[in-house]
Amino acid sequence: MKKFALIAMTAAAAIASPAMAQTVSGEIVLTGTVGAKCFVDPGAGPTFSGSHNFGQLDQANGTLRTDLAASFGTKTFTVKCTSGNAALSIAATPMATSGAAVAGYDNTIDYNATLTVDLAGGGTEFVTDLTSSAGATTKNAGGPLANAAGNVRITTTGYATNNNTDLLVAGTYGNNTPAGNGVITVTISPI
Amino acid sequence: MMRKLMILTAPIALLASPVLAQDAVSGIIDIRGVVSGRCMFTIPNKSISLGELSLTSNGKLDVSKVNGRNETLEGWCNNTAASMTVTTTQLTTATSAPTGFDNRVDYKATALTGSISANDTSLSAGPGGASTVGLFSGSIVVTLSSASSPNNGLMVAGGYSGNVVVTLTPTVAPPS
Repeated sequence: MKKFALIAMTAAAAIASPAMAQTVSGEIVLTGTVGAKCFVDPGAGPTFSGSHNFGQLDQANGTLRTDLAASFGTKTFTVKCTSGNAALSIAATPMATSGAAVAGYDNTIDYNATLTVDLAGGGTEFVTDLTSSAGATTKNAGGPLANAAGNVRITTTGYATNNNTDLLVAGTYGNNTPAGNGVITVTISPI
Repeated sequence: MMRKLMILTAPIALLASPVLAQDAVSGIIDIRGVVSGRCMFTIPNKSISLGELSLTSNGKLDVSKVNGRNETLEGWCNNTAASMTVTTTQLTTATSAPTGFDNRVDYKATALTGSISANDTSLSAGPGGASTVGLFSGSIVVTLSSASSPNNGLMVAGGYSGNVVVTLTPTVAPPS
């Protein structure tokens, strides 16, 4: 009786230890920007404006009033800047009238205008321009402007005629008429 | 007397003794191999440029610049136990943020392949929870959402960067 041999053959395969299944990563890189800018709040516009009408500029004796600075008070605005610093500029022009001034009279009023800003880190920075010197006066804030309402203020001091005994020539002074007459120009730029 | 010879003839059938048919025999050879659990990204890198991040109206974070933005990676896993995780890193700029300002944008990123998703928020460190994706091959859509800034303040000017990392992990299974 024949026997059938069943030969089970097994492949002597080298059983390699499985390679450690690897972890793979995919990456998505995100980028964005915030542009350095300053804007007026509310409205996000580029400009702010104001005016002040002193009314009568002279006292009963015809000389310059002594309370004009108090009358002007403080003009307050809100300017927000995203930059770490801001360039401040202020330029003030005298108030004048067209009528000629003879000796003992004056038709021009000089003053000082000061721009003050609040800083984000606390404290303030200010820059002052004199109408007696042409051009603007500039200064860097030295840090970011405070993100707060009313962080920009304009004040005036030192209203004067050439001589404090001068009588003021009658007429309308300032009012940006002609253009540039009695105007305070403030510029705040991101840096 | 005549003999009669009777010859009995009988058909003589040839009766051949049957040769026993041999049964089929068989041999068995075992062969074996292995496919390791693997995952791979065929498109592993993408970028999203978010543009200007702040609102022109008030300088604060414009969440619409982040929320809903998406990009698609391509990958596959060959293991039924493969998993996917997402790790997000917040968007930041180098300049510090004083009071009232922010220099950071947080967000949530969700990776979706088929019907399986995994997500993570940059508000917490480390990856989000793992989701089992199993065997798959195809797109992994990464979508951003829930953008926010810590103080809802003015955004500090500068370039911001962050990233989303999607990780596919095959689970090691011993070959059977």
